[in-house]
Amino acid sequence: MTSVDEVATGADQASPPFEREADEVARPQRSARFRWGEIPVHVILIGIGLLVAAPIFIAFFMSFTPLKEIVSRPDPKLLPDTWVFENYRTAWNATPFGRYMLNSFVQTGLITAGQVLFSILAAYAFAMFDFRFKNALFAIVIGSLFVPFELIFIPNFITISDLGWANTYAGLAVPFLASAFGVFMLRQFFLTLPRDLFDAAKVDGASNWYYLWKVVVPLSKGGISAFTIFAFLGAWNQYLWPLIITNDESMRTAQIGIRFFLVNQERATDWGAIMAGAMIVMVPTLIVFLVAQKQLVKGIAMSGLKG
Amino acid sequence: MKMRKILALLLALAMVATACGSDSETGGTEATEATTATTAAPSDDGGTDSGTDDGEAMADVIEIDFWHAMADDLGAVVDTLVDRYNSSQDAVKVNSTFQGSYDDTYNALLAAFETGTEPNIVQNFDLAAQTMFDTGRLVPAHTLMAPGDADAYLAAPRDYYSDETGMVALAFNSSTPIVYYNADMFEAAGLDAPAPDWTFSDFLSTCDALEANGVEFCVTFGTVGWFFEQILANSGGLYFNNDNGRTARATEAVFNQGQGVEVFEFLTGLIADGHAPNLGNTWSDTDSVFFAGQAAMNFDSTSGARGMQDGADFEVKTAFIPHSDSSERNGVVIGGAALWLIDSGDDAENAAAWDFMKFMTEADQQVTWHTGTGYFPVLASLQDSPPAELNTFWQENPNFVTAIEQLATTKTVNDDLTINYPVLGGRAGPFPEIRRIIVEAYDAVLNGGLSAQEALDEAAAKANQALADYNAFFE
Amino acid sequence: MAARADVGTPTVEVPRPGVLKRAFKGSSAYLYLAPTFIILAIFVYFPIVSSLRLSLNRVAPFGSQEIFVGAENYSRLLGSDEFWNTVKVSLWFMVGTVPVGIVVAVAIALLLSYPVRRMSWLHRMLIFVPVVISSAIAGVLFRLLYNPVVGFINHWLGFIGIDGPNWLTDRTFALVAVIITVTWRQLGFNVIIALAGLQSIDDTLYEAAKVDGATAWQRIRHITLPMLSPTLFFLAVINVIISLQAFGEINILTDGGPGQATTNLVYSVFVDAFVGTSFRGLASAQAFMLAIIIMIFSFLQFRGLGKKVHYQ
Repeated sequence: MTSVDEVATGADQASPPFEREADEVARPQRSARFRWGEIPVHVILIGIGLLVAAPIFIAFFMSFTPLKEIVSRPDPKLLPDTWVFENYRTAWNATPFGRYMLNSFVQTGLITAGQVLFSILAAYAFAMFDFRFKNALFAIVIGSLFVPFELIFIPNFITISDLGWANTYAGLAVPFLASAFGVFMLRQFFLTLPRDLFDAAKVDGASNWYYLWKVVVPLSKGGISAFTIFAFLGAWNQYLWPLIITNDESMRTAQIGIRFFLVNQERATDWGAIMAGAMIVMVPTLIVFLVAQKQLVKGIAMSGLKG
Repeated sequence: MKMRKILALLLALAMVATACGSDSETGGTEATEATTATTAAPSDDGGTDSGTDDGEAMADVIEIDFWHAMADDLGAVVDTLVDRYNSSQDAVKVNSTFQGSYDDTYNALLAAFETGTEPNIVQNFDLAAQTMFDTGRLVPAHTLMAPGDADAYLAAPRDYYSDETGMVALAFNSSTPIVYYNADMFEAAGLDAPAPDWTFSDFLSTCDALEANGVEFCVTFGTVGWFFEQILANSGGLYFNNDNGRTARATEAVFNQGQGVEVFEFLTGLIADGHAPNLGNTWSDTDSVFFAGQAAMNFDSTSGARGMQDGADFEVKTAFIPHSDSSERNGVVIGGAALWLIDSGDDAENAAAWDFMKFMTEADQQVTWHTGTGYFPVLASLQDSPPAELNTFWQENPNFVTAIEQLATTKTVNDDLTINYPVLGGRAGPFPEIRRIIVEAYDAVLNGGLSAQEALDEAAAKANQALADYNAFFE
Repeated sequence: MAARADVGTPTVEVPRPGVLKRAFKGSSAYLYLAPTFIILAIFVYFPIVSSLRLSLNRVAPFGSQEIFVGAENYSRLLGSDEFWNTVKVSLWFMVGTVPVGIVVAVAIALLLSYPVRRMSWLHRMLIFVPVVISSAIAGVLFRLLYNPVVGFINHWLGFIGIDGPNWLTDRTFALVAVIITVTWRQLGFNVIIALAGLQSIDDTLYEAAKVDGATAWQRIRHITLPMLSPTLFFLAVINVIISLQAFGEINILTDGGPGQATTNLVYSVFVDAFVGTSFRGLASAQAFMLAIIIMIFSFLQFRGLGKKVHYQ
């Protein structure tokens, strides 16, 4: 495995510029004036964009198409002849999506909070402290990035079962409260903080706890919020773990709910209602995407720039 | 500063997380207590039992968890029956949970035994019978039944879910496979209703007539294991050795011998020759094709009688399943599922769950269930001396009678008075896996270029391995 | 990043952990580390040991009984066609998703980095959006698209005279179908990373090349791609890991079928451990093999870091 120093060196050099570059990905720079030569670029990009986003648009339209039109028409049409809200009502009534969403929010909230908080603490220790076994401990953290989830989910299933945590929020969240990626990323951030701040704080006699929360964290909020969104998405989109650790309908998450809704089709599949269900499950992440696109893209961009 | 608020929030959430953690360490015992005395306070670690939803549950109400695999319109009828039970008395409250397909439910149950989250009652399918016996976690039905109680049930479902001592599970939803057909298309092609004992050749000539008349696909069916099992039984072929695993534990699959190959050639041939579309391992896409008028026939369970009849905008009729040319018609194996009582360790709770199970197989509920779905009534009395309303219903809905007659005319005893084991169906611990292996065998023929014989040989070898692995723990 | 040092841009002096003399000392560091390490110990490192133990046992279907069998599970796997099939599926899956995914992402990123005056927010939004789609949702959306009765893909292929295949029931096309789905979901992420990499390349390099009369292609070939190599490397590592761990789409689209045509190692571990009567020992042995494969790939790629990648 890569030694701490290698990782540190590689990333340290990248640190100062990457935040600004990531910013550019999130918020593109604009050239001064319109040029006719841009038009082909626009056409191509819009074409690609529509193709990429097509599955989501189709799901959107389908969710407003009456079942009769979907099943009986010989050829599928993109837009419904009559727009109906019926599918949403069917989906909402057939499956407790409200409860599933709540469960997803709680699970995601716990995991995100845990990962952010614990990563801040650990990253701070690695960035600002001198202590024995520091390199070895850091290697242990980074090493966990290379342990595939498939290797550990069976024992984790047994552990959570033995704790009696199946069908609980603890069972859904606790195994994921730490994030090696978060520790690594935030450590890089903390290392870029100007040293005179630290000196000043030291002269003022600030405790390390105080320094963390009053100086380091406020100055690193760009990185912290980027990682927060990263953690949020990862947790919200979990599939395998909630699939095996929940069997109580009141504890299923939204992702598992949509799977069960898909299975809950006895006759000809009610695609309109299924797409309505998919839209319901997608909405929170789409909102995050629209509202926090900049932080999200920045977070991802930084993860790449740090590699 | 905004950042501080966010951090405060994060901290608060983290504290909740740790609080949940410590709560839940006691949560395990709490959960088991909660099932005996439902007065346990709602725990914020996630409501291990749905009783917490009600908060102030009555102290003497016993809550029963009931898992079922009935999707969609069938699930709605289950919920109707559960509601009827809950409002019929105050002592027991049944919470039903849809657990997905039969396979999903079975998987969830086995995992739940480990996590300690098993329900009181599970609706588990025919194939799971041996595994359910082997779990050692059941309260067998016969221990709670009075002598003679079992005679109220039809012989086929009763025997299917019995071990040597008596009934282990209560048959609830029993079915057989039938052929649904588009009567308008049959009429247009000048075809009569299929004969009850029609053979593969009869079936194929029907196909030719239909397709000559412009029908796109003669038939549609999913590449599921059930139709192979059933048509094999109808053709008099065994699935496992030891008399289908009925006289001793099955140690070997024999579906690759004798009739099996002929049956599998027929089924895969329908798809390979373009008589049926290849929709894969599905129960619902086939219905879409049938409803859309792309296929004239549809193999499905009788449980779909209601949904087929109501869902199609053409006249739907039903027929028996065919058998091989080289055999006589034998009949069908009981399908569907039964209700299994899982020992909660608490007699009062077991008794409450048992009360609900009995309720579900009582005449009133079975009539609602039968007419709402198509599963046939499991009570002998409903067939021997049906109430007037049922007779009227059958006259108006002949599709609901097909499965009953198909089972009633099944040859359970041979001419020499020995038991006709093929129609009793196979019994083996890893039967659900073996059904999965058959799904793969379809693919081996349709995509992999193997012959039916080769694919079944391969499947039998895998099945034998699964049997050996399973049986190793029960020697 | 490295590119800047190349062209002599001054880098900012950053304190390095080893030389930061005025760092806090003392054992309170361990308190800060404790939460992370407790979680990692219980839910990452301890399970590795448990997995190893399980993989050396035959575990009864109902979990309670274990029979020690030594390396039997491993030898059985190595001798089984099914196991090698899952390895093959995993590798095909990787070959199908990673190169295509990266090439498409870089191509789109090149287009996106063309400075346009208006609407670039729209381009980006449409192209980035799969990044927030979960594997379950991706599976559901594409299950509709591939559906033989109501799906759009074959319908649209029909417009250009192609009789679409049985996407989910033909062995080859089922794998292709899952590959397309996973590649699609991964696209937004890949484009963002590629774009970030592109924008970290110093503009003066291009200007110098322009002065020298280099064509657009030459600039891409001799400046962009070499300068982008750390990004490409990162994308390769991440995408290999993601492709080897694909699960949700498979579970929803094909359930590993038809036959075992889309059963990758992860899916096989899941099936053996949680579908039907479970074979936890066999599943754990497979998980170990998978882990070894992933570690080998990661290791090889990190070895490549120093050698092939234009890095400093």
